[in-house]
Amino acid sequence: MSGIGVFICHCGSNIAGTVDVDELTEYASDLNGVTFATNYKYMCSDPGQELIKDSVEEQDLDSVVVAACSPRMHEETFQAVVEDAGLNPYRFQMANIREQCSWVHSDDMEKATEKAKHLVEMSVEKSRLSEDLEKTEVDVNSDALVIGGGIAGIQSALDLADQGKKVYLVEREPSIGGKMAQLDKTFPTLDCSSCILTPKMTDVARNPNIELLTYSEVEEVDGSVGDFEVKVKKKATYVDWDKCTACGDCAEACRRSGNVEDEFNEGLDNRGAIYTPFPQAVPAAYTIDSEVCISLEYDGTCTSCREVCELDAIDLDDEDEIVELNVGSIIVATGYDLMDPEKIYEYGYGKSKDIITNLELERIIDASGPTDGEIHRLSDGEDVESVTFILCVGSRDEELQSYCCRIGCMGALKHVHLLRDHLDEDVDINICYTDIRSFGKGYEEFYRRTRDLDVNFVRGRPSEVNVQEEKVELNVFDTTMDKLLQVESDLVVLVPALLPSEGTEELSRQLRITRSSDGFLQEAHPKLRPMDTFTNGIFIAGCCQGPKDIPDSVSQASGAAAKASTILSKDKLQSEATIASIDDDICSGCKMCISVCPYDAIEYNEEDEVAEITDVLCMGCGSCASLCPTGAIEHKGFKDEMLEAMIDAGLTEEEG
Amino acid sequence: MSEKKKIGFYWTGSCGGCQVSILDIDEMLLDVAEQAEIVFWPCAMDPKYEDVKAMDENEIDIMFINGAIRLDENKEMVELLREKTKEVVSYGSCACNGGVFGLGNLSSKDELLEKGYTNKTTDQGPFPQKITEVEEGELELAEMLDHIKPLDEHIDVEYYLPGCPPLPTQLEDALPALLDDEIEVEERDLITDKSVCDPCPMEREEKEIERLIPIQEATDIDPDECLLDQGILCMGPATAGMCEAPCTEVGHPCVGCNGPVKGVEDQGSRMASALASVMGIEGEENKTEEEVMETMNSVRDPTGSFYMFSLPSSIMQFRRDDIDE
Repeated sequence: MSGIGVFICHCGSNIAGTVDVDELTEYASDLNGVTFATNYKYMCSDPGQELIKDSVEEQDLDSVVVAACSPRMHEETFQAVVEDAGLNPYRFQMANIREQCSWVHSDDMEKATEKAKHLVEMSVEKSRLSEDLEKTEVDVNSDALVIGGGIAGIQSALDLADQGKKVYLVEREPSIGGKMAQLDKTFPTLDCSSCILTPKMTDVARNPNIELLTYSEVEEVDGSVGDFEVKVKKKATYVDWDKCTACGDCAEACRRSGNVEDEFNEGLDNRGAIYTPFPQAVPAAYTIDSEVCISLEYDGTCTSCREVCELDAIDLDDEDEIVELNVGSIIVATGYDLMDPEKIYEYGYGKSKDIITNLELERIIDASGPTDGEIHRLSDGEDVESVTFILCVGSRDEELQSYCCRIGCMGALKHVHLLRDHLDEDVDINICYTDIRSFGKGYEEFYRRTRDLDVNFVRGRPSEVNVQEEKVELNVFDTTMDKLLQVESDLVVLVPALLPSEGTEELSRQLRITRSSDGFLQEAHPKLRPMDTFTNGIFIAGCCQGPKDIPDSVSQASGAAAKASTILSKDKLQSEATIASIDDDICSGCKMCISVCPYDAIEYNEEDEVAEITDVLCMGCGSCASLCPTGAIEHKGFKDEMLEAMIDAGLTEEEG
Repeated sequence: MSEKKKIGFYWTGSCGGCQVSILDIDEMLLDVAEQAEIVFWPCAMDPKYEDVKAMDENEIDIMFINGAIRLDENKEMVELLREKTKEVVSYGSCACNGGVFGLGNLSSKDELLEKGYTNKTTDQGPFPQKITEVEEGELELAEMLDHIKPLDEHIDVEYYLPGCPPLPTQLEDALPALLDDEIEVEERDLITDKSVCDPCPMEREEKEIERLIPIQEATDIDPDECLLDQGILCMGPATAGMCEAPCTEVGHPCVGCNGPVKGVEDQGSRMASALASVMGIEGEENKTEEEVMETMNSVRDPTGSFYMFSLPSSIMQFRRDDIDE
């Protein structure tokens, strides 16, 4: 007669030292439905596994209960054993008599044994109601989408393309490159940023597996892991990029030339209506800014650029285009924006041209930047005699951003090196810091080298920055010297907090992924699943997940690509078997489950007026099943009857 | 055609609404009278205990029992009727789930009597006693039971037809099926699988309820939009929907009189669990303790709201502090 087999593990003395395993075995063998019970020293060992396998056959068992450690430890091990023995893996139940019993009750063998009996009985009761469960399969599209063309997005796209995957790389700006393209040098090696970035950018352009969609934005995302349907809006560039060779004649001819703030140079100089963000832009092509072009505004009245373009590349009839993509996985790498330092009124940003951000300084130092690398006072062009950095502007601030920006300290130290290269040696450099955080590889050494460069490190946050007639003056209380200092500077460099880039909130909604309380995209587990989101098939990389330096962004980007590849390399995906399912005959369409599903696996079917679950999206968390007021949702493997039977078994007093 | 079925209607502790609901089937009563002989109906006739006792075992084919089992006399009577009846229908919410009377289970028997007989708003008088000595001898009164339990905890029940009271439409569907031996009716077949939301005509959205508003304080109620979506506690999602949602259709929230849908044991905990899952879900992770409490406190009288008709059939059943070990 077939029945349930109970296998009790000693776990050496971990369990057997506290629980009387012989008594437990005898008790288990008398339980309802149990036809065989035994115990063994280590059930997870090879002989232990063989014992289970052999018993299934010899004793004609149809279900197996192993009383051992936590299912987190060995559920999969024993499921595989049971499957090997020819049973459905979901005919296996695990009673945790180690973490939940022997370890916590080591002082009372009698009571621990009693509790173990209850735990085993509960699993046996659940087992009696267990049924075969099957995983469902879906086809996987092997193409990938990477959103964001900064260094993280570039790295992810290249890694995936190198594995032979087709990658769509979507970037909002006309060129890829992101924030890293704006940097002059990188810490702590002082590598030229564009020297190490541009080869990667051209790799992207050249790679036949990568389809670059710049000046484009994700409009709509549907579907689920293995088969996402994505609509991307390609904004009109009004230039035929197949023809354009980026000769630049049009930009010179543009009548708005020099009239539009240049975003790439942080507004420190101007461009025209037709422009390319920077000389090494990829793709190398020009774009017309529709908001400022005279011709687009006044219906073709200005013909300057069209007259000079020998390739006839300018097309004022260009229109936005919706591109529909089908991909199996998505990597989000949308980066960061600097917090607007005007939010801290006391620091006077905007009141003087000599109060700038670190990114502006980056452009000023850059030899191809707006000042050709010459550093002067921005207000009057006079020589700079004193520079003061203010770190943690809005970072580590309870009122604004409570988190650390992770790149501010090191970035400022890098700037000290660059300023020392560019300016006279008698120029004063002051750094007002909270703590110098130099945690990365080679960072602390870099900090020590910077200390030798005659820099005044002032530990304190300035209370106020005042614009005087010539200089900018700031008051700061130095907590290491216990003294209020008054510092006069020609340039004050603010190092603002990092924020998730503009549009992150909307994108998170489109992708149905969550954000953490700081607004950055949320990883599925802060330590063990840092690239995963709660939505299966969507991964995150770089600063969209939280502030990061370049090495960390690149590592995460490669990691995300590897994770995406685990999906894209499969022909089919298996969904969990222990997922929720909705009974159409009971569901009354109250829509409550839809609100709680953290994986957006439930949708409302307007026609049948019932909720529906997409199997591959369901992670089996059970939120909907416990909520459903009509009991229409069943959590497979955790049915209400099972839980009720377990509760009954757990609460029944043993007779005698 | 076989012999006429013998049927009866009995009431225990009740408001009388269930009896009225029987009359509410209007002309259909005539059809019933054609198919069945009403042999016992204290509301309309005047039978004595002795008459019932004199009946044979299983003499009555179908007995509809409504009302709460509040007194020992109720209990004795339904036990007696059980002996005389082939099939018992638990009729109305009180019999099925304990009904509004069931909320008395939140207090002990002594507290209820004290409230009823020594309250400032009523005349002070002696508590009712089982036996009272008077000059002429002993007087006997029915005695209150400690708790109200659903009918099926006192006697076996074949069918359930809840509602406060059941609507004529429900009875019109049920009666022919019950009277016809050819039609097989399972124990809970007269209760729907679907909740009130299914027939409810209101427009529903995904639930994002910030806090509940008592309906008497709510202004600007959209007559076409789901009341729960508008923050008004409606028991519709957790309540069996064979009534076809007449209350919500006219803008009144469902109070849950039908009890849970078929297959669900505890209506109130289902509703509380569902509501707790969706309330204040927006920005949940950033909420302070106070904000969470504010959301929770907006659920006024949770037991009275979630269990208005079903406390005795719930997992809680009654207040436990007066039970000895």
